[in-house]
Amino acid sequence: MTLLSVENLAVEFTVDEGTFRAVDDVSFRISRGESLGLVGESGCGKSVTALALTRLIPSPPGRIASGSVHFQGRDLLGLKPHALRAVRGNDISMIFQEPLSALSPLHRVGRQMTEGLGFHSSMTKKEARQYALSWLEKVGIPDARHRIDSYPFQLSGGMQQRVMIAMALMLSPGLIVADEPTTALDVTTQAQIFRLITEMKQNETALLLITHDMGVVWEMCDRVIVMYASRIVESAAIEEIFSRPCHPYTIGLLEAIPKLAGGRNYLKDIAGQVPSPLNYPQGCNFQERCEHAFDRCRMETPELVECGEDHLAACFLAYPGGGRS
Amino acid sequence: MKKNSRLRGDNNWDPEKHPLLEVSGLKTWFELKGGMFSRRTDRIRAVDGVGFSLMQNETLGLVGESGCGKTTLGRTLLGLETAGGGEVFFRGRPLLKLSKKEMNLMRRRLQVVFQDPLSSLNPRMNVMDIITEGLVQFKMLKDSRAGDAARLLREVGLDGEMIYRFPHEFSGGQRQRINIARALSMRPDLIICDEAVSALDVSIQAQVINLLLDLQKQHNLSYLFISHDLSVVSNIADRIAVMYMGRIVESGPTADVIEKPLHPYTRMLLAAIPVAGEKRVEKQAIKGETPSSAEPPPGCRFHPRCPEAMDVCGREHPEEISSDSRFICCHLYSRIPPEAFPDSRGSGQSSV
Repeated sequence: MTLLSVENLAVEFTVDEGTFRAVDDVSFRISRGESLGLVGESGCGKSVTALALTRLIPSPPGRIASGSVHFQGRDLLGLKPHALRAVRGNDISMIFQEPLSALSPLHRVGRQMTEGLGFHSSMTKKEARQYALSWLEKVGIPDARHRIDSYPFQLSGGMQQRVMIAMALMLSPGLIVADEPTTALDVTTQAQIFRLITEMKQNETALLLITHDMGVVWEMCDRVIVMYASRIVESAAIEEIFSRPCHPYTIGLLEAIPKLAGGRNYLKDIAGQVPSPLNYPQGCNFQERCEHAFDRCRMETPELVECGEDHLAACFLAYPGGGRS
Repeated sequence: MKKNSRLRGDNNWDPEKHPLLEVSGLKTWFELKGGMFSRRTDRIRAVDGVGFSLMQNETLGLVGESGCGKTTLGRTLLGLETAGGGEVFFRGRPLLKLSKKEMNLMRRRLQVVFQDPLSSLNPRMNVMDIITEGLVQFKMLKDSRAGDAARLLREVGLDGEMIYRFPHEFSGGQRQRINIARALSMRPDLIICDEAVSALDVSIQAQVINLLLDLQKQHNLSYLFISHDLSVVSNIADRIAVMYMGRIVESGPTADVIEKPLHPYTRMLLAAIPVAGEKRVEKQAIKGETPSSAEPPPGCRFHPRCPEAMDVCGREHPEEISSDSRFICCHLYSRIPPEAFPDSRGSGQSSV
């Protein structure tokens, strides 16, 4: 059953040099209980997509130019501010990359946790504190009874992220949006945080995980969307994309990931660099780095077409007949 | 790893036989003051007795999590932090004992590439001025500044026409190439790469790693490659040293450390890496966080997190055991069968 559906989302930013689309024609669905990975390199628009879901795009300079976001059948982009506030945190909650900048430095952990509970539930202050404490214990914070009165800076990065996870899960939301939740953390801490998210996430809770790390997606997600230069280039089930990637960018990305090796070893790279969003080329955004590019790639933008079971790719090569006609 | 190489001056140093860089017992401690009137001072033992050696044209990968002291170690070798003890020999010369003048001359041979490609470039200087500043200082210009700059840019895979541009006009990967060109301009023997590719996207990261491998071949360079990312390090380093809380806990040839990790911490690090396409492994054994370096645990510093900790681990610091190629500091191996470590059992100061 579809929990969230995003149709033709486009987000524009206006800067001194002009207006550009950070997200263009993005459509996807998340079902109840599903874990979806949104992968791409910096600047590809994955974080902006996540922020647009609950209208957290700073405006100006940003603007949702077109598209729709439906959560459980309700159009989030049309909601009044107070109605949207009830959705944020309660139905859709977020975990950000930098826990220290997401938490207020001036307030103790307990107060920050109970503040949200005050908006979204009818608990008294005392009940809320007790509830927050029980969640700190659940996410594995040792000595939670004392840590609840700590300031965020007194906790380690891993502990801060545990607090963020507790806050995100406390109100049992339908969807958790996690934007690079472990990028600032060490690998051993990352492994523990992911184990925690997997354990805590109840069966009906869906996860949208935004990351640049294919390994992380493999461990956490059922399905994956690959973005490149503001657009979705490929989406498929996790095993499918690793065993049968279709889009030349996905193929290049998978090959460029350094695997454990035994010494000096040349890696397969993708030549060139991501084009600036202010001057994307006409046609496919990947054409300049693509070794298969032909005339049509320089003329039109490829649409997402089916290239396997529940497997979409935006490449003319995936078109029936090779797309040259 | 002959001890007497320390006595040899620059002239007698033979790159074929002697290590380019030889570090033993290196310590860098930071004092933490309490309040203004407090007498209490804590010491952060950022680097606490580290030893290793590096030959010419060799790459040592230094791996560890944040706060383990890997960056401080690199900075100490560069003279950016003051060493609290130990010895460093570079080309057979005692680096820590050189006069300021001698050290400045030696600096040319010892270059660095930092993690953040933008903040390590002066925003008000154009690329030509940035990468030829050292050449002018050391009177090493071959022809004109513009000519040398263009040649260096081409060498790192950038367009030689770009010499009059400023750092903000480049992408992250290009900026890191400029940093590499600047390091390369001095024709160094050793480049310390401190998380040099960590801030780059995967496809760009691969380009820069390949560039570093090419340059090493062409210029006979040695790298001390510092990174938290074992996968990256294993593609560039000939040997790997794993650091935990200021000490090297294990080292050896890259393939051996990756395929047969000995120290429980190395095993934990390897298990924690999410590897795409492989069966998802159970990660129950990964627990805890690095404790504060101001109050390191007694005995082996890893014992509170170690899945194989024994009674002795909390009491005594493990002996350092080394063979020809491998080095390990763990109680599990203190009663090692002789065939596993054919060489003598090292004690006290060890070189890796």
